[in-house]
Amino acid sequence: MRRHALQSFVLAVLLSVILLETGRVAAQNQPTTQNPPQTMVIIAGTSFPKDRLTIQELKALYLGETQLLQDLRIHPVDQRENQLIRKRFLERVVQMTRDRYIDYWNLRLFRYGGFSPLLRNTGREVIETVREQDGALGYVWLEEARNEPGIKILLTLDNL
Amino acid sequence: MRLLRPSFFFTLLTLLLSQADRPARGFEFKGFADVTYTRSSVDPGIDPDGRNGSFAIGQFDLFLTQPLDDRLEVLSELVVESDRNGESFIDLERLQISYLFSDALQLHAGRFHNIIGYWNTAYHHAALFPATIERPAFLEFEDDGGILPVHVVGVWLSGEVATAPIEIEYGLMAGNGPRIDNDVLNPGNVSDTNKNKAVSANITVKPSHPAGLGLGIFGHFGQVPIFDASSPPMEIGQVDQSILGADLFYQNLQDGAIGLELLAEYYRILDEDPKTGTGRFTSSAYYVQSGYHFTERFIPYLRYEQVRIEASDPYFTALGAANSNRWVYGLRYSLNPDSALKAEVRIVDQVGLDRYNEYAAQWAFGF
Repeated sequence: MRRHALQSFVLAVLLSVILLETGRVAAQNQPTTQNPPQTMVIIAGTSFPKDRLTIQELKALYLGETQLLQDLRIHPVDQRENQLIRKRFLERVVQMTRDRYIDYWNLRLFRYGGFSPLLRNTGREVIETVREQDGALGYVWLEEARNEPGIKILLTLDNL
Repeated sequence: MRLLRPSFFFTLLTLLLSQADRPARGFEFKGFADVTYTRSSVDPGIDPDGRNGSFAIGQFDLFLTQPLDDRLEVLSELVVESDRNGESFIDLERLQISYLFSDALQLHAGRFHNIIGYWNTAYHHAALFPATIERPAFLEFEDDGGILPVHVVGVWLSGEVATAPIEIEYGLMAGNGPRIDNDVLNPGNVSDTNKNKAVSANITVKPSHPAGLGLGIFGHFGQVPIFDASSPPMEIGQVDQSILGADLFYQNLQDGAIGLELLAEYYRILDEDPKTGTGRFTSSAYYVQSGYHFTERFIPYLRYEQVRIEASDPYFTALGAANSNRWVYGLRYSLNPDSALKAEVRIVDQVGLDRYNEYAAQWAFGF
């Protein structure tokens, strides 16, 4: 009798979790307020050792798989989790959800050590960081980077 | 191990506060802990409290990395844990200084997790990261009754070489060999009992497709002296040991990561006592673990573990190890990336000794 009750309880918990999760995922997939397509640019200071990056190279830098370029330590810069641009960047370049990206970095740091990406609140802060710190690169909207001195565009990502 | 002192927390707090206003490249600090409830049907003669059901605070893991410059960094993992009597202890589980020559070559010195298998170098001491509540039993830490040398003090070369369509990770480690002191493996934190350093090596291949797949082989070679409980301890045996193995993992973190997760490791342990000439003993241990991400946060999982020890193997005899089979069934639900609830049932068969069930639930978290 007790065993039967326990099995029912476990089954009920299991079904509840699946239903809750299904609802959560469905809610996440609902179209949110439509934003017009925007253009994101990957920027770095003028002394950055490369002038162009591919998406694969960029991904390897943001996942810590590539740490040095031409003998210079690279410092990727992220924007805060609540920023739309970060969500778009993770979807297009890293191809991970927010939670998976955090999981990845938690585990990677724990396993290998190293540096996780720097965190900045706004595009303005990202621009200032890449301008001032050797080896730093980050992502901002094209409008934010236009006419900014002391930076160069390494990659342009359209229709985000 | 040392008894926990209040001054430890004062020192830690001082360290954290002193770092609080550092610029962007300050230290990375993470803490991990868990609360676990376990009840079992084990024979009270083996574990008198097993049938009572007990709550336990798990390992309180304090993890810090501090870059000293762009290539030099320090990593430490300090664990506070409690024994059955409720006494708390501090263990310095990892302490390493590392120099990055290139992405393909990094040199470390200090105390590490031995580069045998996937689990031992992936999950370390935090309960948050693995899907399951516990490590495979044969990979338990030395001071928790483990039967394999999972820690090494010495030097370590490691690197990653990405050459499409594969990425290769490798490691080469040399350090103090372990010893057995009164039935317990001792990794030799401050001294080695002989001139033969233990050597470990691994190589893992990760193809681009399918993403998340890795295949590795590894080996560990060392000489393990066995000491009794007398004072001073007497050396009563010595084993030349070779551990050879392979591991496989598949964990796709990309694109929402719904689907299969697979981990498997196989160890073949060859022990020989060169002094007695009793020949070579061959034992093995393996596990296969599979989980399925129905959603990003929800994973039911299953693991089977087996240990087979050749009779009279002097190494395992000294450790009191025996054949065992273990099934683990469980569920994990991640509340967010820093917190997970887990529940599992284990069917444990200690061959010739006892067969019992364990029921466990855990709340693991990081901060």
